[in-house]
Amino acid sequence: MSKFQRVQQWSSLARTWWLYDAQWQNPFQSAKKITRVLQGLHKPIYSPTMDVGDHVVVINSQDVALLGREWQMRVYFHHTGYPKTHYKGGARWIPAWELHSRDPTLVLWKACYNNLYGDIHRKGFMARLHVYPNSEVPDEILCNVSGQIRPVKPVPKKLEEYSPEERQTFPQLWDFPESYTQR
Amino acid sequence: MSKELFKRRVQIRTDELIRHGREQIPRRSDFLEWNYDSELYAFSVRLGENFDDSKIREAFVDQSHVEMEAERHRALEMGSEDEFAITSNDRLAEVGSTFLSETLESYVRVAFPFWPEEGVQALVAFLNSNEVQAEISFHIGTRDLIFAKDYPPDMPTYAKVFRALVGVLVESGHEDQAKRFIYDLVVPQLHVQDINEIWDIKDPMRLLMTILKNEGKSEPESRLLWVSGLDTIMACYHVGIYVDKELIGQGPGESAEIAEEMATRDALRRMFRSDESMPMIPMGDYLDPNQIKAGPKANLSASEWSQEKVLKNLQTI
Repeated sequence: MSKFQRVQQWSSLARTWWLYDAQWQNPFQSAKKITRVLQGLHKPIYSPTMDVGDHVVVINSQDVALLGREWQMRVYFHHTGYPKTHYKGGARWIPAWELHSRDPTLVLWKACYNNLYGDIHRKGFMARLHVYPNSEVPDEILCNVSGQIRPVKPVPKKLEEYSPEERQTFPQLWDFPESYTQR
Repeated sequence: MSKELFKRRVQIRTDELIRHGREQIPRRSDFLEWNYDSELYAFSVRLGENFDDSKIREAFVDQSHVEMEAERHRALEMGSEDEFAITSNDRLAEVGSTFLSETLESYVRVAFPFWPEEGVQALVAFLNSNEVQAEISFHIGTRDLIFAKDYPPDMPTYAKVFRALVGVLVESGHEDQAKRFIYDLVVPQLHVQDINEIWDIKDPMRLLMTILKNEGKSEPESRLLWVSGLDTIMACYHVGIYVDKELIGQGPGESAEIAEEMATRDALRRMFRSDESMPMIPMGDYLDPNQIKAGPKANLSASEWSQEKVLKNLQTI
């Protein structure tokens, strides 16, 4: 193997670290994007028998957005370990909002976990996912990052983020009459 | 199935015995129906060459065989040594070797006009090496035709016989044929080889600085393009070499130093037109021997290389 081929191989097999900002993003649509990268499906050298997946660092997972009444309706199951003979047994179903309040990284983490095929490789793929509830990421993780995954939806600006001039010059459909009372 | 396995087991055992020298591979010429004349004829016909009959017999005789025969002659006391006359292929090999060097040199200069003379010499040395020529010699079927002490012959013997065969063509006055013979058999050995690896540049950064100085450009500037996995064991650095705010080469590596060296080598191979997008090396049907007829003068040496000079030289030819 020549010098050029050696570094070319090093370059193509090196693991890239990607940043994903989950601010106001649907976790289930995001998971589709993230798991693709975790498995290495975005690479031309991908092969199911090759371990070519990349790392993904997810920030702001506490601000994920679920649709409609999904926070109340979506239920996550876990088992405490108590047998059925115990009072009510050990099975627990908790709504998404409660899971999110216990650990704000888990909704996105579980979305990725459930989107992957449940075979022996899943643990390895999930080991390459690093989820953080806000934008505070340890330096030893953040220094590895060299790319960014585009979020599913563009993040809209809040009204208070617009300056008063921008609000004044915003095009109006009609002028309010003088007698109109604005609160 | 069991028959096949048995055959393989026997094969392995025989190979082992041969490796330890306990069993000799029988020479093909020891068998009863061996006919050297017809084998020699078949050899020429296979290659499609008109070898001179007396000379090709000389080309296959190695010096070790001559010595062995002389020893036997003396032991049997069969008369004076003057009567005993077998010539070895030493002279023919020398003629062939000179012709090979000249032909390959002019070929490489025409095929790689942007390469410095040092690189040209390295490529010629590679094509002239015993390993490469022994490989060719073996594959055109000289093994059983060679007269040598050892059987199968060793690598230098194979290579020498190949040079002697070229010598036969040259001595018979078929120089064009000899050239075609070399272009068809020796030049294709460059196929699959990484030619940038054959010429190993010892200090690429110094060479790059010399060339940029010759071209009147500013000093090269190495910059980190991007790093991935900085804190992991699989860190990958990509370094680019900039000259006058222009990217002239880039390379990856597991450390910034290695990446910088590879970027320098990449810049050099782009200058010498031997990068990955280089045109095909002319060989086979794509090689016009008339192009290489005039023996071109030496390429520029690495210390005085500049793209302007090379382009000017190419226009004058």
